[in-house]
Amino acid sequence: MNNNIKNSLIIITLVFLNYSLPGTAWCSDEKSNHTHVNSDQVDHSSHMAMMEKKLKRTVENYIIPKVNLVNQDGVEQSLEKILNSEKTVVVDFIFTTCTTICPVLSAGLVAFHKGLDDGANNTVLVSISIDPEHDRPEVLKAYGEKFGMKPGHELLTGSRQDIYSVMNAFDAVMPNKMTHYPLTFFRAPGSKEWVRVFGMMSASDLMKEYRNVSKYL
Amino acid sequence: MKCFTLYSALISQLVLQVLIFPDVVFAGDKHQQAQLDKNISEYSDQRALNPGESIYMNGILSDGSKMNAFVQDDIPVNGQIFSCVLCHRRSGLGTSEGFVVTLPVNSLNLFRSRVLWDTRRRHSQPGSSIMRSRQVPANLLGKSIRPAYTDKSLAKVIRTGIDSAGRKLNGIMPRYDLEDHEMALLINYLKTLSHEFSPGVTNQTLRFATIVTEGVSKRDRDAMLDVLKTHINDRNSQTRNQIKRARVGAFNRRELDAAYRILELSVWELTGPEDTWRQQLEKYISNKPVFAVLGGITGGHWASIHKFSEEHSIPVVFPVTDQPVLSDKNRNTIYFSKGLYQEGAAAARFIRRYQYVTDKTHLIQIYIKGSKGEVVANGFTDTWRGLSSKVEYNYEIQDIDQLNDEFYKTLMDSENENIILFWIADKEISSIKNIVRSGDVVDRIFVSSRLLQDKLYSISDALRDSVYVTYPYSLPGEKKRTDTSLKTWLGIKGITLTNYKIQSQMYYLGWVLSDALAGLKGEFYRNYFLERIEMMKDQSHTVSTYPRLSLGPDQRYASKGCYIVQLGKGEEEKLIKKSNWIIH
Repeated sequence: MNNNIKNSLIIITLVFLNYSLPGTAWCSDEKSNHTHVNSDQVDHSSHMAMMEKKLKRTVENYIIPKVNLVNQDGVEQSLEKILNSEKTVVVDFIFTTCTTICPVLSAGLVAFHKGLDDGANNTVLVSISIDPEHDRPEVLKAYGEKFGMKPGHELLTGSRQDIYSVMNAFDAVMPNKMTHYPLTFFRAPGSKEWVRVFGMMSASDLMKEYRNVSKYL
Repeated sequence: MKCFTLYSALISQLVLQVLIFPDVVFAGDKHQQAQLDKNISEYSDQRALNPGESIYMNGILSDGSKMNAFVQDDIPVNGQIFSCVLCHRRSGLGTSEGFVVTLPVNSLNLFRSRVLWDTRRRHSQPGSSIMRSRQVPANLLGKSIRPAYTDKSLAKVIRTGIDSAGRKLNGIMPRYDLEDHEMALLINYLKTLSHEFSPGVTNQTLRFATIVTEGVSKRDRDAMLDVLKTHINDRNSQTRNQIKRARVGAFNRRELDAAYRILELSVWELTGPEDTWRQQLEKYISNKPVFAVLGGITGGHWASIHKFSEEHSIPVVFPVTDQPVLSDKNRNTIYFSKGLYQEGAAAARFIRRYQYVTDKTHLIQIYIKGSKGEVVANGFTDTWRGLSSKVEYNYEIQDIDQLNDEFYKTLMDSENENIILFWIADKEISSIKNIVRSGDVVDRIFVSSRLLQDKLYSISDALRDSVYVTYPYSLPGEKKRTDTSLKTWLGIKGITLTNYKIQSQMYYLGWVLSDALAGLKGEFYRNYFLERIEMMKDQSHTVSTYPRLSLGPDQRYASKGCYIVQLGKGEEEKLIKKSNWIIH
């Protein structure tokens, strides 16, 4: 009996402590919904530093879906055809009204593209919108011009269904654009393998990975 | 088992608190630091603020040149694109997207120390009893993450990414190349950013308004108001003793509890000629300032109210109108869609996609000048010209009686195919039969479901094979679950279903409001209110009227597509889907 009372008191105390200790609610919230992370309870630099320092690199095989997407000039093209290019292909996922990682991803690709010099002609950059309702071709074109993107950098959009199938193929499903995350994919010409990099890459990171992938040539 | 779970939670919390402190990266050498400090003089508050705002908002320096920056250490970027507002937003309170949290940079947050699990956030005007009674015991506060910023340390973090605790911020945060005087302007602006609560907020209440204009039927007015008022009443019903909790509740929940406010809703009735509405609005806002306008309804266009909201920086969220203002510079009004214009645009995309137009096609738009049909026609023309070089033929008429046999005979070319875009409203739809009388030369007739409303099914069976309808809503049966949810809610609340579209839109708004207010966590700034709505997950609330509603930073039109349908024949009202949800 005494033990039961003791156990009950312990449980009540722990329940109280758990309730009182700030942050418990956040822990469960973050698991279920990243958009509800409370900025007061997250230390920006530490949170981000983990992403920055640890680029996660894996080699994958993806089956490209047979879908047609529309580029920034309104031209509809087969994604398979674009990606099965005889050039090195770099792919990322963005949306044009993003306020965090997409502008940095895009600026990184632009800087990388400029740094390729002659290699630019042997490379195809593909940025696929995950917000196709908003990112119509004319919106993508304005976005590309704003960032100074060069020919050879395709900005693609399409129906939500097709975009979803592409995200699914790259194991990058982001059903809600506000929960997206940074991914960059590299493929050497003729190779069936894709190098998948999770994390924010600097221009030198991009160049290093590009050269690494180009060893397949 | 329960004990184990609780222990695990406690331990994980403690571990998290320890681990979350980052590696500290010290800034450069001491000499460099000393030089940096020397360059940062004391900034005068007397300097002009507008140039600082220009740096924050546009990345434009006081001499008109653009700001330069680096991200990810080695990526040079244009400061106009990577201006502060991009991530920290107009409110300065930051965003959260995915794994990335952009922290607040308004003065109340910058110039005080940052504490993990901070519960000291300001929730009431200074001096209120709530504020005094809910202080957290000092020994229970988390560890300090960083000291309060000074002008010098703030300049340093903006230039180098090294914060006031000596830690290196992530490379996503640009390092800005700013001279001292530009830095001074920016810091002075930050000192004013989201410094005082927006109008319409007291320590106990949060005041909203909704707008009803003249010309709206009583049925539609009540449909809008009944649902909106019920949502407000529900929130004010104190199901969880929120007012008591705000006063004496647990200190660790202060952030949520103390942010609770009783909501007030004023109904602003606009009567008489439209050119007097502005004066009426000014009187309303002057008598009783509001935090934001919720919903609202008009039978005409929303332009004068839109202009008022822009000039007063008052958020207007989801008004019921088929003629919203279409502008890339729209800051304060969030619309359900682009209304009639969007239907014209969808017709253009549909015709282009299915390549109905050849060299032998006559593409004819018919609408009454100055009517709602002209808005649809504008949507078609703008989009069509963007997609194709082919020219359409516009026929503006002054009066519906012009649409007689003679008109069509003159108009149509029997040797070519004819596509007619018949942007005529419900009262005049009977004139559509004249098109067929004129001869067997019409391949397709496009009409707008918004324009025709209840008269859509008055189109005869004989015409239905030729008629294509722009339909900007969910198709019947497409949203059964949310439809049931809405109807159940209306039943529980004792509200009669009178106008499904209006009531479902206000039902949606009620949940958006609830979520946005919860997200504010006491930061009662109008811009932040809009930003919380922008940042909501796509489709996070029940919406049955539209297949998909989504926003994002600076997006102001939530539904972006449209179906093309045909009418089934017979007495049963049936829509036959002819396209997917057209967005491109």
